[in-house]
Amino acid sequence: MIKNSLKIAKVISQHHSGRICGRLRLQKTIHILKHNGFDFDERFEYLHHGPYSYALHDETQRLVSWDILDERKTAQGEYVYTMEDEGRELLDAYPDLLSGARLPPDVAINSLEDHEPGVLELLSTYYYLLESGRSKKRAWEELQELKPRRIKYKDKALELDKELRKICQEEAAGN
Amino acid sequence: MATNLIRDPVHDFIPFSAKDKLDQLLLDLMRLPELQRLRRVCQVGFTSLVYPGATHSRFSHSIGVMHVARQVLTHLTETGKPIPKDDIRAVVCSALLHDIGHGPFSHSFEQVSKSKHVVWSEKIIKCKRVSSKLGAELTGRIADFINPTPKTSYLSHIISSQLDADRFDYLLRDNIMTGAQYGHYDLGWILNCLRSNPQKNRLEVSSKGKLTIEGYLQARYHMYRNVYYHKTVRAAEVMFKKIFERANYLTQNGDKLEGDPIFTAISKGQSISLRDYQRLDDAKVWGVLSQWASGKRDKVLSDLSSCLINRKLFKAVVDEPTDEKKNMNVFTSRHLKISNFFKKVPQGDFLWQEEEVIDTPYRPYSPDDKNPMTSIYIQTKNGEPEEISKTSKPIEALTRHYGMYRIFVHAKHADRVKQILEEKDDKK
Repeated sequence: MIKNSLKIAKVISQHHSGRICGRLRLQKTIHILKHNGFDFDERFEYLHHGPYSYALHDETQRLVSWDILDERKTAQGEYVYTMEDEGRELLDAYPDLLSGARLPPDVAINSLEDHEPGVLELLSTYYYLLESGRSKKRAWEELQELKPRRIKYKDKALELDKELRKICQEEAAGN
Repeated sequence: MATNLIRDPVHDFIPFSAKDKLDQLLLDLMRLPELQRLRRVCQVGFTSLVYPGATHSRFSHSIGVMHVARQVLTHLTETGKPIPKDDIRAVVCSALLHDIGHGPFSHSFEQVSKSKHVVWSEKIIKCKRVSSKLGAELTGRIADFINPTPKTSYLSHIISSQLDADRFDYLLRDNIMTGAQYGHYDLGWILNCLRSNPQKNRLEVSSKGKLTIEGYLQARYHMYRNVYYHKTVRAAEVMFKKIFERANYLTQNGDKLEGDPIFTAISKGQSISLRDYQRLDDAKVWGVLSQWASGKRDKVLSDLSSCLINRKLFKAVVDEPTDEKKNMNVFTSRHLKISNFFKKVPQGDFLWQEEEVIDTPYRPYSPDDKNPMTSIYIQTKNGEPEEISKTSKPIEALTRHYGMYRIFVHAKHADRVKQILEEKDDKK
């Protein structure tokens, strides 16, 4: 639990901007990273906007209640998460805590951060369909129906998928 | 006149009419090796290590779910618009087949093999022997029902939702078989109060069902907290996971494991064929654990396997709720104390595990979905149906999540680790 929660906090701290805007973005970011082989234990299921983890939601809320994360709601109704000082101190004080876990490098986080939420939603849903046993062809056919407003991001999503796979390969080769 | 009867500890007689084509199809499906395999898969994994009576199988549960689904459909037909025969067939067959992809020890094996049972279910349903019984159209509908998206018909909620036949059956069945007494609720009255709302694509409950739904959700809460999340059950699951982590470590280093090569493949994280997957059951896993226990190649694998077989389980040296606000430093420093201790123990990484279970008994909404399958709507005498937590204080209380935090360690190190934790407290 300590590890699971801190992994989420660490991902947020790795963002260039030091924050993650939107619960949807947080959910899709973690799911995409998990799909690419990084160590996240949260289980995802399919809801309206694609893969969603109730455990991730609960863990995030608890990090907020423990003053590790700050949660603010913008005028547009979007939730913004940033690290609190206490969270930063915790990660600094116990660098060994996350040792052994395969964590995403900054470059992977930055790739995700550069894309619109719609791209992440489409890619995450595509991954979910693959995880559910669909072939690539069938997954894209289903996405036409499931995500008619997001399908315009298909090229960007595939580009991001390629980029992440390259990062993972380079990381594996580096190790 | 029923010609076939199955006697069930939860539902008593489950009839199959000789004149009913659907009933005959269900019996045909039950005879398939793919479904018979579920006789050899325990419904509740390692729970029988705590509740010795809980040795019931996925097979009996599958028949129970099918029976409840039939009852749900009967009530919906009596109280609402007629449901087309094809839809009834799809729902009832899905109910019977919904767990067909479960591996040994049910959910424990999903973590070890890193594969979802619903994916295997779909593959098995589409295999020649099963799909030839069902026909192409029904096969496709069942696959959609057991792996639904929000666009799937509300009839899939009978298979998967907060009010599904799956949960209706397993709470009562596990309650009876464990003898725990926490999971009883009034299924008959809930079925009587179920209504369909095709316009909203969901199931609803009539106003008379509110109190019974309260009892049902409380039963769910108590069964999870006291049975499924029981610390000793979790300890066994953690050990099972650790055994396969060790096996993975060994195979990654080029070692060959004793026993069926399928377990070497699973340990390596390799994909396995559908044919091989269907050879798996609880007995096969106990068999390989027994071989590993008496094996000479690796002491850690042998010791962990032997301990699980003989119920010498990991001990929970920390076991506490995480519901209330706590200083994260307390958790962190304690975690590190134990982690540092096991760094000095040879192969210590395989001898302890931190674990937390977080659960929300009832989720009235999710930030991602305004109308999730986890919501329950109660019909009101005047106007729109209301989401139940808005009208029920006990259910409102169940919308808060709770967590249970544990650190499990190998039994032979438990006393020393407890001492270390106490030393830390003394210094404070």
